[in-house]
Amino acid sequence: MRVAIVHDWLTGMRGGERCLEVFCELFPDADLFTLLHNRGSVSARIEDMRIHTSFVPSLPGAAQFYRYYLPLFPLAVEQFDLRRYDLVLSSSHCAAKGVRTAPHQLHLCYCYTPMRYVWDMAHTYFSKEVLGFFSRKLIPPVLNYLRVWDVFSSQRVDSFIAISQHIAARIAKHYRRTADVIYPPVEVGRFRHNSAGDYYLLVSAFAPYKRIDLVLDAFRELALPLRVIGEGQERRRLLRHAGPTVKFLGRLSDDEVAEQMAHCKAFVFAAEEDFGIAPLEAQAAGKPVIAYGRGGVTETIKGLTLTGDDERDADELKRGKHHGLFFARQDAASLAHAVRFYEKHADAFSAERIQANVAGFDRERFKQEIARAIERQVAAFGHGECR
Amino acid sequence: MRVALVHDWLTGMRGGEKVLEVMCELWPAADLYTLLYVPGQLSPAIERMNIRTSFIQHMPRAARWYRNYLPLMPTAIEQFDLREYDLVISSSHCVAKGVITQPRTCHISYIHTPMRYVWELFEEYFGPQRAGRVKRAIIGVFANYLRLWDVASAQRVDSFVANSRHVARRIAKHYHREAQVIYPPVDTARFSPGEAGDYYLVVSALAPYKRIDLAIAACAKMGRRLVVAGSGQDAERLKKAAGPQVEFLGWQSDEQLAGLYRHCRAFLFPGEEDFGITPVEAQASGRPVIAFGKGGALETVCGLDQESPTGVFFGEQTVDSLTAAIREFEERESSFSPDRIREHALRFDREVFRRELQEYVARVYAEYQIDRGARG
Repeated sequence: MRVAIVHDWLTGMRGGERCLEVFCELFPDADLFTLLHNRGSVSARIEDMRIHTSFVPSLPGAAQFYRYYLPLFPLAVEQFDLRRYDLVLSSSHCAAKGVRTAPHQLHLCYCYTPMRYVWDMAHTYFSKEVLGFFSRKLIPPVLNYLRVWDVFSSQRVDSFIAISQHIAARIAKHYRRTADVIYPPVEVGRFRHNSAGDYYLLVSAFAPYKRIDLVLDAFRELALPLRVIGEGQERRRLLRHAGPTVKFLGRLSDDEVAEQMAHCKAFVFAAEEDFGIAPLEAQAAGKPVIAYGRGGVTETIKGLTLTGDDERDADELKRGKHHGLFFARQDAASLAHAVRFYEKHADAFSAERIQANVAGFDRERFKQEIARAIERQVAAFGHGECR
Repeated sequence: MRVALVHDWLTGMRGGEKVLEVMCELWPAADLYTLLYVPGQLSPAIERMNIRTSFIQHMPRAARWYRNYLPLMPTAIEQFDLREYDLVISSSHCVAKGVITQPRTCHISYIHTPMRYVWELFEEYFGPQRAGRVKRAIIGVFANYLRLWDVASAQRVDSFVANSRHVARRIAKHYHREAQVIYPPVDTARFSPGEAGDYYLVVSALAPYKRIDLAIAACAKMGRRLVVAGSGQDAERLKKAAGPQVEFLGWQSDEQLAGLYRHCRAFLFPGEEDFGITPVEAQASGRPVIAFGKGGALETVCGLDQESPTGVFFGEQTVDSLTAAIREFEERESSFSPDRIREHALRFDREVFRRELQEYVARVYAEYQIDRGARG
């Protein structure tokens, strides 16, 4: 069986690339197609593949400013010639799912999200506050085009696998397609538990939808120590929100992150995430998670949704079944209230139970589930039953 | 539960706005999103809503030229930020159904018609008789884009409601989606049967696809009196073609219309409509309808093959076919019972619509929550 893997772009190791790595292990002889590859930016396992790129790298400044070429990505991805392959596995959070295949080829899509900039997150990415006059006029028509393309190209996929129920719901909403769910891998083995220090921790890329501003606002008001690990486009804006109790640690190595996780009091998280790997890593370190109660975390973490009635919430928490707290509104006050509540009831959480909850998210499990799902789809496709 | 209503544009009270009006009564606390709002043209129930508009509102001379901004409307409607709502109900004859909602938000769309200017009625709106070669070339490009967008955006709707089986079939044809049929509201209380007069009646916007020219030609041929109520872009063209037995009344008030309906001999309906409210209004006045046998009229009018007929259909959109139908009607004129005709029309009453819509929305919303719960 000749296999092609399609991944949007290779410019760094994030959640999607961890999944891609597993795909590469499953199909080491596959050809890897990608819009753009910055050499050395991804792990050796991926770099060792036969990598084919599109015309995007030849565009001026593409290595750094590739995101500005988003409107050309549909065009670029449709130019990949995949005629030689029997199985095409796209690993897609943007345009990769839009490749062309023939009826005798099986196209499976592992979907991290339908293009998030054009759907749920459009108002977060392109709010009036972040855009200048011209981009405010120019971006909406481009988004309009991308949405049309996104919907039509979704019909080219033979079968979708979503990273969470949250994403399956988005696929159903925007594409009217069904999707199986396989949660992505979490490297639980990298993390260990240690006694709590005096700080809360946030590990996140600095992207608008992560709502780090809201965490910073809450901790400025709380005047409690917060450490922030991460980098990104939003750094300058975020500094304005930070109070004196916040420490920015920048980008850290995997070991350093694990070390910070091991000693934090709790992990805070204000984003509505598609899946949310970082909170699960914190759980692997036995740490409770204080998160906004929407999106992927509600599927993976048994959190107590705070009602605002502290007595009732405390009673509920005493039953010892919860591994975190969910706050109901995506604002600083709601988060601050959750942190105050946590300060009072931190001893209600058990590190062992928290760790036990996430043991099943490890990489081996992902590899097996994906391998089995692909096998099943390939067999069904042979019999003409693929959906 | 936070509710948003979406309607294409608010520039006058027509059939679609009657539907919207009932929605505003059912969900008075909802926010109402629309591309463009010209105050003072709509009923108080609509005007007292919290109305939010798009950038179309600020385009040059938008109140008059808004139709020319059609190619921008998809982009405008997609910019509404509806993240905070639990339920979104769109009332759509153009682009309103294309709003973007969150997966947790239930989006129900009441479809008056799938954008008719780019589908079935494209030739009638933009055919060679209507537009020059250059204009048609430009419009063709935009129409191509609008068709793509129309189909893509139809996938965003969670549940479709069609205003007739005719529209449900068009939704199935163009969008490959199923739709529940709920007939639009007709204010039957405004009408009552009376003594039949000697004139045939047309009540219609004078737009090309309404085919008023057929009614005029048929009446001229037969030497029958015809009264035409309504205004529109075709008024001059039609007046030129009309003989002395045709009377153009222009725009008429509700009271004047009720009087015209009550005393007409029969109502003529030569166009193909998605639903067609006017034939129902004529029937609420106890008058028979002579209609082209296609589209919504087939659902609102009972033909001669039915047990108690309320009208006569003609099979081809030609003067001869309509003339034959008028003759057939005149032969059997005495067999039509005004009371039975009115009773038939009551099935389309406003209260029936209100109840059906309310029940349907409640059921779909509840099911949506359960589905979401099952998904986690």
